[in-house]
Amino acid sequence: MVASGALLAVVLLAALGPLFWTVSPNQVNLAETLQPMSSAHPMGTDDLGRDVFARFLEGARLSLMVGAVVVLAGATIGGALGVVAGMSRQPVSGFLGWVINTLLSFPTLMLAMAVSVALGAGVFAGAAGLVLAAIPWYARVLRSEVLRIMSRPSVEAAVVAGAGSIRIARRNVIPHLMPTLLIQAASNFGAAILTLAALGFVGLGAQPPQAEWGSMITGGLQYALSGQWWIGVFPGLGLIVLVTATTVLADRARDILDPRGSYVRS
Amino acid sequence: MSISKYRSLALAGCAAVVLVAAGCTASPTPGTSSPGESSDRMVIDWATGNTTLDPAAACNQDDLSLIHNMYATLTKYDVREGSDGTSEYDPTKIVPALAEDWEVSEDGKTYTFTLPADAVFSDGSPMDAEAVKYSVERVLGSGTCAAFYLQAGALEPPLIESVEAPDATTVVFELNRPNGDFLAGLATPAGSIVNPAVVEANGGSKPNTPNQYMASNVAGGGAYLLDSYSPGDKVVLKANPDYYGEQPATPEIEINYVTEPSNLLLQARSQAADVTLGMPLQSVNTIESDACCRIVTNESPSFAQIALKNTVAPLDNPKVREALTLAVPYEDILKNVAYGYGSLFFGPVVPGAVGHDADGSAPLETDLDQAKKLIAEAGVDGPIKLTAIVNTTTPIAVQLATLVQGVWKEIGVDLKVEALPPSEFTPRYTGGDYQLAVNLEGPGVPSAGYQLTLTAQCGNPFNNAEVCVDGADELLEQARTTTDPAEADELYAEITQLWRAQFPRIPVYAAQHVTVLSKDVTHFEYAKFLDFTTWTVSQ
Repeated sequence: MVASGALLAVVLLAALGPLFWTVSPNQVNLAETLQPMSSAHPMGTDDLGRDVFARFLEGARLSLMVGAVVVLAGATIGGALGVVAGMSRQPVSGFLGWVINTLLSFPTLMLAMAVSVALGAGVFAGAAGLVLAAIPWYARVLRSEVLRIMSRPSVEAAVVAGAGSIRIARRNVIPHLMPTLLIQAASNFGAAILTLAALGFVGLGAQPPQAEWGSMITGGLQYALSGQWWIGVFPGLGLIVLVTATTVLADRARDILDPRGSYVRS
Repeated sequence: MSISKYRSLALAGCAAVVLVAAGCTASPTPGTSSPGESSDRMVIDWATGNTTLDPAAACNQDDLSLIHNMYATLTKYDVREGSDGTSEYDPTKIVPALAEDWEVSEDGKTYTFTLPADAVFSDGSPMDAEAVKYSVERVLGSGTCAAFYLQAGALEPPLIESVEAPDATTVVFELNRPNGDFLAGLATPAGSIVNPAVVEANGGSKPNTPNQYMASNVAGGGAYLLDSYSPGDKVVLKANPDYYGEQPATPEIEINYVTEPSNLLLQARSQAADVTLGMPLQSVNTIESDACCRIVTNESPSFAQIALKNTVAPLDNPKVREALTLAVPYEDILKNVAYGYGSLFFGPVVPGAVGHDADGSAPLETDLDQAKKLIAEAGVDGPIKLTAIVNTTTPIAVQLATLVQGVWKEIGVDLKVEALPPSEFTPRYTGGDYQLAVNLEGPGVPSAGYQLTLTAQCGNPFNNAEVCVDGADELLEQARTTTDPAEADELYAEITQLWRAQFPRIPVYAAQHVTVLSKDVTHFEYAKFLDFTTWTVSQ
């Protein structure tokens, strides 16, 4: 309940906040640098006089958008790969399994960083890296699930009756994959947001002047001990709330949809 | 409660007492002398980690400053009084260092140096004329910026024709033209005298080939010996007992590379560091009124700039360059970004460099209306879209780029900022692969001749912004070859006016060198290449 409320609050803030708080997140004002919280600036200002609350809202929107894109793209591509790998015979199934395991051997952040460096730092490259890192997780989970489903009597009957692979996939396999896919997606959403922030923290995510929680935390670090703590703390808190909420919801979804506990957290 | 539980509690209590006692005595104690006396050890926190110890390979200021303390050079800068009881180097005056004196021929092309007969390297071998010849030839063949520094930027053609050692105490340089900055070039760490035997036993000296041994070892005879070295982490220097000159005032220097700004601030506040170098300016601003420390500022030949690639459209249009230059909020930047630690100027030569024309380099006023007018007059098709590269490890450059991005939007210029890690920024910047670059710059030799050659000589490969000011090259050649400083200053003043008319670069502000000293530091001396030998701290 609390997690749902927290997630809803962040989503509403991100979506509706700019309607009520019309200050531009990139408006520089050198006369108001490093100002503490006030009615004019509820989260203070940063080293260039930009409103931290406006940047916080912008960062929330970016995190939610990238999280959604990574989940959708990862689930679609990874899911398709998992279904094909699970329904294929050897050597195709073995080869695809090898590809999936190879991609899985790379730590998620390393893979995302490598893609960002190759494509040039920025949100697009970061998101592409996150999608690439997410694909094998979906693929592996769904491949295992497909293999289990394929051994069911209903599928065997369909095969004996002469049904083609596409028909079997559409009618007998994919509908049974949805709970697993949803659990994986819920888990992946929080992880994607955190990894995007990590990319921003090391300078490979959003580029100036784009507001992104990870790069805001990095920028705020140097002010932590000189008194201007708000620059990094508020985006940090936002990240904690959002990632914790999505992780708790993912756990709850698993409990409801997959009592066997066979899904793998990415 | 059982006896065993009592015993456990007692043991835990003792352990806690031991830990607390250990914690109370764990802080490093700088030096071991009585209050009022100078300590025999000084702790320096340095924000920028070093990358090499090889004088033939070092390019950046921080590497050069460390190297400077472990090697001898033929010449050095004189010292003058600085601010607040400190002293600083005098860029206008070169004095003997290892060389006892020198003679210059009538035509200014032959320099004959006399060395002491008894100077030695740290292993006892003679630091003689052959060693000087070897060291110079090693640098000249290195293909690095060291060759540029040693010849004070005069590379087209190379300034030094030959260096000979007719006997153990005589070194003769033949130059292919007179050059007023030659002695200053020898004073840079690129002029460091290395031990030939050590170098030859460890990789030798091969043209355009880095020596891995020299990158992390020292083969010198300077004021300090390298006692221990953990790259990017910690360096300990100890006084060289066989040093040819005066023994350092503080026998042991411990340098900690602290890249995290919060740690730098903490260490300075708690006086765990005697001297803090490279502290971010917002932290300096915070600590300014603290009782722990005092802030020393010195005019340094470095500046924040927006480099413009003059040969790339639309920056090849002088009106566009002028518009961009007028649309920078200089006063606001100096006050709110640099916290007042600097000064404004508009000219090709930074304040603090010999030959800087202060009167002729008056700063410009920000004028957005004029900037908009110039953009309209420039005749550029479509909206102006530009990309600026910045180094992510230079936060102030990222700040400046983001700031001008917002301001230039108002004059119709869309600036994209590409924040790059150093491994990408440096080759792109030095290779001229950019439209704009925002960074901190400064001449290796603090002289107008050097800086103009590096940044404004037409066709110079180091002139990565491809700046070419009509009529300036001829004046520059005259200024660099004259032996009359007054004549040189006049010529530099003329070049400054020609340069200003073309708006080839945007110097945002001249940066002061800011050092944070603990209240126990009794003497500090600032130099372009920091010299620890006179720094003292009481205990």
